[in-house]
Amino acid sequence: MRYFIATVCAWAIAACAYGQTAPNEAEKILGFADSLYKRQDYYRAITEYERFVFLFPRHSATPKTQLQIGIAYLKGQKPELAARRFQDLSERFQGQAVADQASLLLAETFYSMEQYARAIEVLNQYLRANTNANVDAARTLQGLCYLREGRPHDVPIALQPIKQNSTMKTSAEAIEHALSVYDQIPRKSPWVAGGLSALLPGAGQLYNHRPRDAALAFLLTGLFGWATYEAYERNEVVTGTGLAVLTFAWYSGNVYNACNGANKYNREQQRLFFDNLQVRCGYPLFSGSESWGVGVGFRF
Amino acid sequence: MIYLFFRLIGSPLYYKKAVFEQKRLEFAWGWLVLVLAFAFFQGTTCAYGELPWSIADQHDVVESFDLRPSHPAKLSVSSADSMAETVCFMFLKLYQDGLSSLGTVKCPMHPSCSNYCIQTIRKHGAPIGIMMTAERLIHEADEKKHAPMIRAYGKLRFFDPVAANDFWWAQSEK
Repeated sequence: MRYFIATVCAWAIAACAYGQTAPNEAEKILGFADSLYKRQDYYRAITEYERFVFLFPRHSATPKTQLQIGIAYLKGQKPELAARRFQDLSERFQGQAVADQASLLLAETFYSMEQYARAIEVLNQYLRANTNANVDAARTLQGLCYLREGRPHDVPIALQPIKQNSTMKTSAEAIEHALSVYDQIPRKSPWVAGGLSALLPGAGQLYNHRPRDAALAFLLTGLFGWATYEAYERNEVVTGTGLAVLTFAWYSGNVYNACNGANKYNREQQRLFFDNLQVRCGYPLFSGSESWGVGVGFRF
Repeated sequence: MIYLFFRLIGSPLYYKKAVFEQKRLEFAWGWLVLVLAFAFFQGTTCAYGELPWSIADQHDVVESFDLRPSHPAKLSVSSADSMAETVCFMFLKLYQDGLSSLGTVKCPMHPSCSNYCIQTIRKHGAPIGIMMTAERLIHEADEKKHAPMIRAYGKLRFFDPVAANDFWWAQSEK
């Protein structure tokens, strides 16, 4: 009997001790993971978050930690893995707040992957099912998606429900202003650039503000053309034909380079325009460290 | 040295007009070699190595992963390639196994120009592949101001994949 009582007491003490230390252990792991995340060491942070999920699968912070793993993937330039994680969470926790947050983060991930149509689809589903505080931010992201997708007529429809006193009103106004100046983004015509380079190698590159490319295109095409001409002048047909093939390769490369340069210029201008717009909209809207209260110090 | 330099580039300042008229083809070759050599070697100056834990401060590094193994995979010619592609690949193999493997010149771009050529030929066929490779060699000089950097094969390189140069007409893989 004495042994039995002693064993029961030992079990009770052990259980109490475990009960006291388990939350501390959870806090420690999560605190360490958060500190790694804060230092932008996302991959190591993911390992620590995964450790937490593995050790404490029934902990109340586990769903949010899984959300945080997805955010860390997104910030660590692995959007495909982030999308998979958010998709999984939005399906597994349907009807809970975590699922809604995962849906919004999934839309933002698709936006970062330039898959605007999929982002719009996810946001439409979210907006049909929710009326909470994040709805205006979802509409703002939807406006951005429409603008990026080349559907400017849908932008006002997406932003219209945002009320005057909403915190997202400034962002919505920034998008509406961007819509009005969208046609004024500087552009270069690939046709003009290609035509100029076809007439005079290097001219299209100068039109694209690429002087080194222009010099190299002019010199290479000109010199190969000159060498071809001189070879034929001397009746060196084999050398001349070989040089003519190379001249044609450089010439066509020069014309392609001019068209490519103009397209790259346009893409760069678009990128600058949208980078500026995103800053004014407060992007990232959902994966920013302050959006969810995720991260450091157990704020779940 | 000065004699050799002028002999190579065939400067009209050095030669008499009659000699220049006689040796115009040699002059053209000389200038070609000079321009190609300049274009070839100036590209290597921007590729720089780094310590295992150092961070590039000159450019943003878009991808911080390191590619394995330490050298790109060697080209293998398959029976599915067309005749034109096989000829191109033979020249490229000759270049990669010969001149490139000497290790004196390292392409600062990723993928390297020869690998870029292989990828364009595989993606678009020989004619467009050759044209795009000529275009890559032309745009290499100015691209360094625009291209992001990537850590590949132990060095920071300018990231300029095929998709960055055919995005406006070819279907990209997302």
